[in-house]
Amino acid sequence: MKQEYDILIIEDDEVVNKSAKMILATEGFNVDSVYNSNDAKTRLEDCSYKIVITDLMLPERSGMELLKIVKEKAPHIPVIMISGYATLNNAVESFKQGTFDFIPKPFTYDELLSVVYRAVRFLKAYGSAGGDMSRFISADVPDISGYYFLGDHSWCSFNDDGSVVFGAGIAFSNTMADIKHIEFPEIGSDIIQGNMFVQIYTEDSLVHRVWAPLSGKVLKCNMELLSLKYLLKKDPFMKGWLAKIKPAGVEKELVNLMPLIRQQDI
Amino acid sequence: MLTSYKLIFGISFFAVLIIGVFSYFSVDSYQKELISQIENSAHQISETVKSSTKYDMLMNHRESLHRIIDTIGRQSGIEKIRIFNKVGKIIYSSDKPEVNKMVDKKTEACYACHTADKPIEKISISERTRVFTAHNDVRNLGIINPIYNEPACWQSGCHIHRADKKVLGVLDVTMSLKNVDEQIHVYKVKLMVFAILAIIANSFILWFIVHRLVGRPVKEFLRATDAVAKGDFNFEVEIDEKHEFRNLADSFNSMTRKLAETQRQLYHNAKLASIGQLAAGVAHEINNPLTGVLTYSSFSLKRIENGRVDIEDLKETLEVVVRETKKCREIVKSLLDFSRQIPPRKVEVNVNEVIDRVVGIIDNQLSISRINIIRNYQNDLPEIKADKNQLEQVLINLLVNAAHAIGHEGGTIALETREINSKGEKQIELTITDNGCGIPKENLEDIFEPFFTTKGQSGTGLGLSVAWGIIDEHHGTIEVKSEAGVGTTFIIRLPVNNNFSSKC
Ligand SMILES: Nc1ncnc2c1ncn2[C@@H]1O[C@H](COP(=O)(O)OP(=O)(O)O)[C@@H](O)[C@H]1O
Ligand SMILES: [Mg+2]
Repeated sequence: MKQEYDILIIEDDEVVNKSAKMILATEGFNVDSVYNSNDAKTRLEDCSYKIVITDLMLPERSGMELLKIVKEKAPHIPVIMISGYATLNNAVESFKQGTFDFIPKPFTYDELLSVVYRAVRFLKAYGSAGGDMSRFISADVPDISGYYFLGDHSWCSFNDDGSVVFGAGIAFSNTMADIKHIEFPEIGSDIIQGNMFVQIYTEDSLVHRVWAPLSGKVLKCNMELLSLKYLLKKDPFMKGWLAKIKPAGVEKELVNLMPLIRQQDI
Repeated sequence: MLTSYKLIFGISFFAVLIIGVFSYFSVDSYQKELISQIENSAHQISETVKSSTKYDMLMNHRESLHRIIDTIGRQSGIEKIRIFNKVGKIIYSSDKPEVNKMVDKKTEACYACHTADKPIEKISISERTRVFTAHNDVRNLGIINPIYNEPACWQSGCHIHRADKKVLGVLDVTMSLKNVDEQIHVYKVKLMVFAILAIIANSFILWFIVHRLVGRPVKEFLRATDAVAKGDFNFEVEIDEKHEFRNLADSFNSMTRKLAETQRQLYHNAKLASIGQLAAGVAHEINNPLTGVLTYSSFSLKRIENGRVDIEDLKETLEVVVRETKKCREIVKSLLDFSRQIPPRKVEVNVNEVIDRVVGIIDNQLSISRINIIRNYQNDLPEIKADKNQLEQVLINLLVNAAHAIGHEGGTIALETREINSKGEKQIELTITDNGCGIPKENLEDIFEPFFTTKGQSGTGLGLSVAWGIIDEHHGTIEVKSEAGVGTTFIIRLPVNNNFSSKC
């Protein structure tokens, strides 16, 4: 009989592979790990994994290709990318192919866990919704035409004055434990697409990092959220906004974003 | 320079043509001038004879007549003087044997008057003159002077001349053209000598001008383009201020200056690009060990915070931290080698000794892999100025790569040194040949790139780029020849006389 695994780790670097495995095993997950994409491909044949974590840059076959394989077989399986700094751009791009989230190297124990736990919650919501998330997430989803999405992770919408409002996506905000604290960027600081701009501390003592959907300068932050934390989960697209930004280099960066939220996540 | 010879030849040809035509007309007119002088004097003599003998003829004083003719005929330049009558009988001649002989009217003396057998009474001097070549090959000029029947003649009654006869006889004075011909000959020779001298001088001056004004600057340009082609952009074409080529030289020089500038920029850009590449590569390389350090240490920290300290866990964490930090240290070290932050210290080095030392260092490792080292040295190898440690580093990198390529099945690595001469420069050639797996063609271009490796996590991809950097620093070259499945040869060439002027 085949053993049922929760998570598959695909990482060619020994120490990174072992580290990830150690963390997840410590947390009680059933972890399988491979060191190259060929082994990964054979393991993915029957796709009995609940979550897949893969390095973006692998010899022979990239993480992006493995992502495609998984998405063809079982689109609901969250695929988490491990990316180096040099492959940050690829990570941002991979959101378009359906990446759940990515973890930049080097990462801490908690940084890996926070993403994995969000994937676990996502799966739970997905399972109890019978495949239709929109029914079970308690968020209000207004008309979001004109919004651009960095995967299911974060969004941005353009104001008439040229500024851009950033926020977190449902698959992000509704897969966290209760929010304890939100750490906003400083007004006037520069943020870069794909880099963290907001950190959200949750009651399960994890920290969740929100990646900026575009690059720019911070104009304003939604301080109201500090007292009305539930807005982030309840109304993520309107009152739950995070920051207002003066964008820089939109044309080049917009190609990495998607104009509409994908059906399965609503 | 072929062009200058063509030019000289062409111009000389025209000079010959011009001098030739000029000489022809000059000789011709000189000859005409001389002959007309002779003609005039012959005419005068003829007239003199005629008038001084008129009385004697009238009086029929033959002796006196003969004496006059003989006397005048003896003058130098006069060949002979003779008188013949209407029918052509020579009545008297300074050349005695001729007397009483008949003159062939169709020849020499008579043709002037007797063309078409009709005697013409009044004819001009030039018509009466003839130039002919006598039996002794000497050209002569003859002038005939008709003796007309004057009233005195037929009135005298002393001897019978009928009044209706217009011409009684002909006085013929012949003068030698020997002198004239001699003068013309001398003139011709002089002209010829002058022409030859003129052409030689002309050619020489031309050659000199072409050489000075064209040949030299062209040679200078040739040298300059050669230098530029060889990559020396500091070469300046030097040409006189006043020379027309000066402008060309100026624009040539500014072109090379621009080229040099562009090259510097390219070099700089390439350097920046490779630094960027390097930075990205470093980030990538260092991220993995850092991830190990970070995950394990954050794990242990979390444990301690939760009050659950497990010595075994802590030990494992610290082991990972130490091991991975060492990896980072190695990467940083290779990186420093690569970016040549450590200034090289150059001393006199014998390459053979360096090889021996390196082989000694890694001998153990090699014999475990059952690798046989073959050394083929040139014993009297000249010493070179180099950084010993850096050269050792290069050799270790190459030998380790060779050992990796050979694998565990065993094989041979051949090390060879010799002195070579490349473009007049003494160099040391060091070849390292292994019979390992070889390098596929598609990888050959990339192996010197930093972080290019086919060894996955066990390789850094820095070995060859470090080697390349060091050899370049020593003004040498490193080259690779390889065939997949057969083996690989690395060829290093280092200059023997190296002044180490630093580049850019
Ligand atoms: N002697 C050799 N035979 C075959 N392949 C070689 C040899 N030397 C170098 N290579 C190839 O060049 C690559 C780069 O070498 P190097 O820069 O030393 O990095 P590394 O050894 O860490 O991979 C190697 O990964 C290997 O594929
Ligand atoms: Mg190497």
